[in-house]
Amino acid sequence: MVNGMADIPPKTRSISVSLYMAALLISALIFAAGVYLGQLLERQNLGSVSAQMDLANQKASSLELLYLVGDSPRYCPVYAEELLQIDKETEQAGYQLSYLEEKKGIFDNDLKKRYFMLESTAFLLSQKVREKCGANYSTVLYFYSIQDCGACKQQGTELLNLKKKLGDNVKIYSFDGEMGSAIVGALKADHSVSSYPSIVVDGNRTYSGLSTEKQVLDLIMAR
Amino acid sequence: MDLSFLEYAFSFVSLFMAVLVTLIFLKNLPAISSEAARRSGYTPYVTVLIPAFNESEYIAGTIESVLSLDYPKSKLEVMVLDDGSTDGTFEAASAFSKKGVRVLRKKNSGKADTMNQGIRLAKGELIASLDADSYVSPYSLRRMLIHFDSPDVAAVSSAVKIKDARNLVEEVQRMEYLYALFSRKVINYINAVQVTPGPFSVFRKDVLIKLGGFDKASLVEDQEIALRMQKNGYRINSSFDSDVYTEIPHTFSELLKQRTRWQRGGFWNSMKYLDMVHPRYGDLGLVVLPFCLFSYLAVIAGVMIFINNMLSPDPYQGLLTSGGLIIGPMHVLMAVWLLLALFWFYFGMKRMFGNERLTLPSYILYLLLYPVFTSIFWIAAAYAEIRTGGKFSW
Repeated sequence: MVNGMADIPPKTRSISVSLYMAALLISALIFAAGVYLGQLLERQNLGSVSAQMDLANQKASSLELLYLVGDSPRYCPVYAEELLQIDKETEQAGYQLSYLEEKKGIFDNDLKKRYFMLESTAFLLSQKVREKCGANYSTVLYFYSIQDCGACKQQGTELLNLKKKLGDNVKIYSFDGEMGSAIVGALKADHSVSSYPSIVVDGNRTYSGLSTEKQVLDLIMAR
Repeated sequence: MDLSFLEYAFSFVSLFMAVLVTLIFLKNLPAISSEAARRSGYTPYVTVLIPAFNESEYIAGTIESVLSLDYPKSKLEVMVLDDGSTDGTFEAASAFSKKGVRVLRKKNSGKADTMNQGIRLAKGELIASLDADSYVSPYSLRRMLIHFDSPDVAAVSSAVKIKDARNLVEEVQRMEYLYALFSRKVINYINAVQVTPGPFSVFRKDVLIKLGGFDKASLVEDQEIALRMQKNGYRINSSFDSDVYTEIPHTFSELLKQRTRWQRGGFWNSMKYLDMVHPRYGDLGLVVLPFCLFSYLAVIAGVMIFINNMLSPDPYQGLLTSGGLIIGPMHVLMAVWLLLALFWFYFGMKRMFGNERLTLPSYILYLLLYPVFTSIFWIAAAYAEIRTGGKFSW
């Protein structure tokens, strides 16, 4: 059969204008409210990170106290166990903070400063415990800047991948070197950090510029 | 690459459509309630036309269901047109000759051409096309005829359903058919029905002839004819209480084969009738057809987002243990959409399909699995198009 079109012209059809207007208005309102509510919920996560950091801080204080009370090698298993907990919680808080900032654009500078304090505490404690008890893990200090640092994003990813491979065998402490935090300034001066990204492996060797996952791994292995 | 703006754009359009469907539904709620189970007193001469190709397994059941239709026997012609089957379909159908069924056979030429030949031979004023693997309920025809309530109604679609689901793939399809039936009814209220499903639909014969019959070049001729009718200013009505049960693919690979054909055919139909995306065609041209095109884009965007995530995986993946799930705007919007979908389920589908088993877990399962299934069908369809160089199309 031939596709012969019928000869009647298309009838004028109605358009439900008022229906569309109503639907547009309602969906725009729901959309705006939904996006707003969603962003509020996202911000809520900062609160839970803050709570998590309080917990880690408490543990750090109790470890410091323990250190003052019994400065003896027989406490080493307790130190190691406590330190592991502190590091884990600090790490999680850090991941969440960076995730929220990078993916959702949500951050709070006071919270970040508190986080760097916590990290510094955790790092210094781990140094002390290492001196006293020795250690079977490596530490990496990572200094970055959120301004004018093209390689920092990549450096962060390299270190995260390294962390995934090595797990508890490496502890990574990352600091925004330009935040004006006193303790971070002291750590920078201690390790002669002047540019970003820079990493310090096991507290004594500083490397500036992008270090790939493989390079950092080699540095750790060369220890 | 950050593709979150795509997610926002697509979720806004989906939300708009969901709200629109809800408003149309609410506006016509009284009509839906009063429409159910009305029996037409109008009894014109009807030809039930059954094109059959290798359906020996089901054809007897199909014919028996037609013979038990509540309709004056003097006004009903039953015609089986065997399209060169090689599995004894003709013989199985011929057993019903003595009950007055016209059984004819011809060389294989495809469903659309078989239908067109049948239309020329049919005596009825109305043609009820019935797939040879589908079963009509006795009340279906009369409940459909009541929708021929104006001379410009060229076709009425039936309530195509699935009898029993024996596995997950069948259960998802069963819910899909009910959901589609609900949507088709809602869309009927803005005169934008764009398919007259193959299993069972009733047409005015003179319109079919005037429009040149079914299109042999289309992979989904039951959608093509509906668009052509809409384009020529005819109405299509949809009935939701005229139960017709059809056989469906039992396994995922069978389903994939069927849907690859549907997606390809559907895509080329929308290309063929791209000029109908115009306010001249009312709500169909202004909203319903553009939304179909939008859904193609949504699939492409979905695949793009998926590939993007694969190429640049989230570095925090696997590191975030506590509080890993961050609830954001996209989750809230999805929850709103889900609430609307639940509203349709409890106040629409449950009301319209009271005789069907409608459980919430099945519905949720359908809502979750269907987008995944559709994406796979689309990829398969795109692959088939590329492999065959677009054959089977214009």
